[in-house]
Amino acid sequence: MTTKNLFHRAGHLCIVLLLMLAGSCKQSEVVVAEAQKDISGDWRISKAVRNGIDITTLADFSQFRIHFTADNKYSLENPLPFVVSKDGSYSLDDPAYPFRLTFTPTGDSAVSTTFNYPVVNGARTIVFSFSPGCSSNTYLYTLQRVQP
Amino acid sequence: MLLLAVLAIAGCVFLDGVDQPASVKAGEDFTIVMHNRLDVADGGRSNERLIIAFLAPKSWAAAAHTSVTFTTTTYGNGKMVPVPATVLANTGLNWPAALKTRFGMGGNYMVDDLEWVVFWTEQTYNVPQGVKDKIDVTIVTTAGPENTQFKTGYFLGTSSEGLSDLFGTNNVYKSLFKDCFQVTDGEGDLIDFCNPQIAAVTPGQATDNDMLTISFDPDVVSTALSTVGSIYLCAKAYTSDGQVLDACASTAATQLLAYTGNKSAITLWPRGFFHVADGQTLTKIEYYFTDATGSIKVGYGNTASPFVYTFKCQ
Repeated sequence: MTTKNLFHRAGHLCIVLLLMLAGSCKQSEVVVAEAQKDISGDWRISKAVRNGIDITTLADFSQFRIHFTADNKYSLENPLPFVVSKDGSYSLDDPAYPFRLTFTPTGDSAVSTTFNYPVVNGARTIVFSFSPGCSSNTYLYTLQRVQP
Repeated sequence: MLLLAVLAIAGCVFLDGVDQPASVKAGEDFTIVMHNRLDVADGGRSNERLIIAFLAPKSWAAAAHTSVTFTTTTYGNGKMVPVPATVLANTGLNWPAALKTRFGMGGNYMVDDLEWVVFWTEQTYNVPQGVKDKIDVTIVTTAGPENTQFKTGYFLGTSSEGLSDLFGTNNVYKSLFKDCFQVTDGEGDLIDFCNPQIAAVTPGQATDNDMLTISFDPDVVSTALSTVGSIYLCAKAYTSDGQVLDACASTAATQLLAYTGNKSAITLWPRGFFHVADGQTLTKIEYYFTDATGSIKVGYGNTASPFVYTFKCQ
């Protein structure tokens, strides 16, 4: 890569803020290509929150596993209240921006859920928000990949 | 002699009785009548206000949802208004706090969720010695939306005497407490102030596919488990198709863990805890707290009846 090329790319990455006369702000961003997300593997619950209260230490969440395969299957082990309760297939609406995940339990209709995919302590985590019982009760599970 | 006579001035009030319904429907207005007497036997008073108070769940916001009127035999009729929070009783506390300190909450439990609602006459009155009057106070208030039961309580006093005990506790103010009063046909499981809340379940509304936290509070009332270290849940679950699922062994899976304060609690997923089959749903659970041997059982209100939790959503 030449020096000229580097400058050219840096220019593209500039974020330009235009302060409008009316007092509003307009922001234009340069889209940076994301790496493809790969959620395949075993995941366990590292944090469980119910209605805003951390309940991780109040029950045994350590045995729950969800296994995502590279060919879009998932399976549950030692189930707990979750988005789905039966094994099946999954799909990410856009592998590059996988913030919506669709579970299709075998023999059941699909359940679509949004999730976050933040990096915590250098490792990817998946944060699911869902209401498996009463809609007034919301749960937030943070899943961590189980190191093989 | 003169000094004694001045000291002996007292405006005596008597709370002869209170008419109230035994129960009321949630969200509806209901009427309470306090039958009072004033007997100024040994000295007059000026700039006097009559003060009444009643107990209510804080969730009712009763001070804002109550109208109080009174009739007298010689002083005409009038209305009463909430005593401003800045007005102190002679104990140095404002009236609701002073009444809570003096009388408590009349044998109710979860006292922090109840309050004394205090009204006084809008006008001040001069009541010379020898005045005898009958004063009926009519309280129209609105029951809150929740299913509730609590023991009602009433207070009668005057602004001049406050909670003075100079003449003995029975002269210048009166209190009266009644049995459990019920608010029915409302929202949610019963909020029970009448019985000690040894157990509490969070969330208040849930299905069998939620995580339930069932807690045991050893400080509410002394029970056979008060000195027991390890406490277990002994529970039965009822399915919508008429099956009863039992989970009553003292194991690691049924043991309560440390919770807030001195409380212990078990957090469980009912479908997993009771091994509910696919296609079955739970309608309610009944439970006790037990020791490791299962020989000690503590139930609802520290009785032999189980606690009940009904699954439902709003």
